[in-house]
Amino acid sequence: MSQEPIKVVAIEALEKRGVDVQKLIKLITAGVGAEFTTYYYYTILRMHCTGLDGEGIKEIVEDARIEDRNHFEAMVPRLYELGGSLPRDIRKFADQAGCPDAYLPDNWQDLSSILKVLLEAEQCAIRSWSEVCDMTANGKDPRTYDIAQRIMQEEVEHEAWFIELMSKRPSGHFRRKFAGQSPHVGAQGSLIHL
Amino acid sequence: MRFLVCNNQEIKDNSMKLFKVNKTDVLVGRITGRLFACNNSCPHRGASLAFGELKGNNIYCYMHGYEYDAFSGKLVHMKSWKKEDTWVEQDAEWRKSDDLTLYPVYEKDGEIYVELPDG
Ligand SMILES: [Fe+2]
Ligand SMILES: [Fe+2]
Repeated sequence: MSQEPIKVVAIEALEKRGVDVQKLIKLITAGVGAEFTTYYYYTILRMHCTGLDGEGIKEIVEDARIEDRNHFEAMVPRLYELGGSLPRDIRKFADQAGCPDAYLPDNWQDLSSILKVLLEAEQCAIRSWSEVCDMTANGKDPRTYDIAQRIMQEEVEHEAWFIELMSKRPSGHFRRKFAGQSPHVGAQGSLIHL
Repeated sequence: MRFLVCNNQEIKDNSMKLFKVNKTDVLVGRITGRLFACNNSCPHRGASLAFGELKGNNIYCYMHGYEYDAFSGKLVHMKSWKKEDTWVEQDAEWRKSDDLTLYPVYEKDGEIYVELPDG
């Protein structure tokens, strides 16, 4: 006896509003891939924020690192709700990430080289979540949009922080209440368990 | 199946414009008088090509800087991530990209039409 597939009304509602769900799944998988790899690479970058000036940016890098992990945590459940999944093999996951790997540069002892890599990563994250926001905005998929726009708020802050550190352009930055507080995504991500 | 996209006047020379054609995002443009049409999704990571720009015969993707020939669909420039000598190039698997999905496009009686696959 063949079983009828269970209809997911939450997906049907999106399709009726013209959302290309398969494309959305692809963009989200790429987006969470970039968050996860960024979390990994920022760990390495933060380790290399050494010396007197390194001490000055260590905590900002740590905030961005933990918040990116939180972006991963916040969006992954939505990926599964939509019918998507994380690739079984983490190598495949990294290879499809929406942003390039934030590799430690060879001249990492020059702190500005680390800042350039950090900035590049944040700017790519903004572009990639903008695509998800575009696909889901205007009532088409309020749930995905809500999470994506929260992530965007923090990516925009991350970009502004690193630009401030590189160029003195004010970002409005003041320290988080605690490391990786994730003020916009916090309740959506892993911090909900804490 | 053939679909009417727009009036010929709507696509100025050396420009491109995004249309929703039968649920598909189609990018239609004109380069030195010649029309092209492709799926708006960048074959590398799915960015909207409409946010990119035309560079000669190429569509430049704003997301990762890849360039695709608008007429052959081929990836013609894969950006290097080695911005400086001290940077490390990205992994080959990550850099890989398919070519553009092109659609036949033509002009008839002042209107532009595209041919989209059935289904
Ligand atoms: Fe992030
Ligand atoms: Fe970030």
